[in-house]
Amino acid sequence: MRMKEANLKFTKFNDWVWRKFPACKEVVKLVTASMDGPLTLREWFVMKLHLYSCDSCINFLNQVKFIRFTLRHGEEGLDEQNSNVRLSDEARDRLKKGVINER
Amino acid sequence: MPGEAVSCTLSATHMESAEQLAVLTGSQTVSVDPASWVDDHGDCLYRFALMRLRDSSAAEDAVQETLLSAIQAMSSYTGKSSERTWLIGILKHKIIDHFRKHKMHVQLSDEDTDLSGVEGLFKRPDMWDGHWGDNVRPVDPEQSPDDVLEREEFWKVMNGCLSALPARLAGVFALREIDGLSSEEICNALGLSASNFWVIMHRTRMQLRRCIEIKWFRRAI
Repeated sequence: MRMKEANLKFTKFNDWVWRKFPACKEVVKLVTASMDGPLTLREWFVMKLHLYSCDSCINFLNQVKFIRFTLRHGEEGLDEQNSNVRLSDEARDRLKKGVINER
Repeated sequence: MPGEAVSCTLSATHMESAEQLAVLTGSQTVSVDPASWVDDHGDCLYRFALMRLRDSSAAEDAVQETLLSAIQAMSSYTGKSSERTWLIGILKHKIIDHFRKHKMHVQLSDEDTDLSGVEGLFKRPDMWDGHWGDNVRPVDPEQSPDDVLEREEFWKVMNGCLSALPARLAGVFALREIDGLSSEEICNALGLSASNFWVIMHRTRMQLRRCIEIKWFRRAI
């Protein structure tokens, strides 16, 4: 394997954050929500505090950002994967007739 | 060429021809030939629509409406962008119209908004239930997203993972993550509540991320 999962670091601080504040399951919800709009101050604080103590959630954040970047900058690569998807002959004829009638 | 596999995005030739046209005419209006649109751009427009609508007849309709609107609006085409960019701009509106007409919010089922599938990753037998389970903790991408844009294997993986998204949710995901529309624009156009929009985005994003993680981030080189 090329990459490793982050190890859990059981420091006193991390232990405190994990016990007293929402767990990863809730924090990933805040992370994805933060990509579509602003969080409340409390949500933002909970997210930041957790990310400070949890490398797995940092990796999660980097992965979803990575995916967004590729989707927003890589139309060409994605389109080439589907270059075999084409209009059927019937649809093509119908579209041509429509264009000619409209002119 | 009709039927030839052409990339949907703007090839250098398309860009050049648009620029040349603009220079040659030297005026605001550019001569365009609607008769050639179906052969020149039809497949590309169809693919663009199909990826977002996930329904071949809806995608064909959207292309047809796009071409007809384009004919009506021909005088406003200035040649500043390529013909294809101009047509795709019109198609984007037709796709949103389609979603609006079909009232996404009425169609969402309990299954669409069910998060139990993505939450299985956080089940643990120990006191840390709710944190990432062993063996499913996200790994560091360890590369820049720039580095994969040109890699065909990456897009093969991405295409497979996108195709696996639930059809009715994939369109919303694409409007946001590929087209970059704002959350407000999407909710207004589709009549979605903020909470339904959030569930759709969370579910699709979690599923896509997990798929990409297994097939790309964790793959052995």
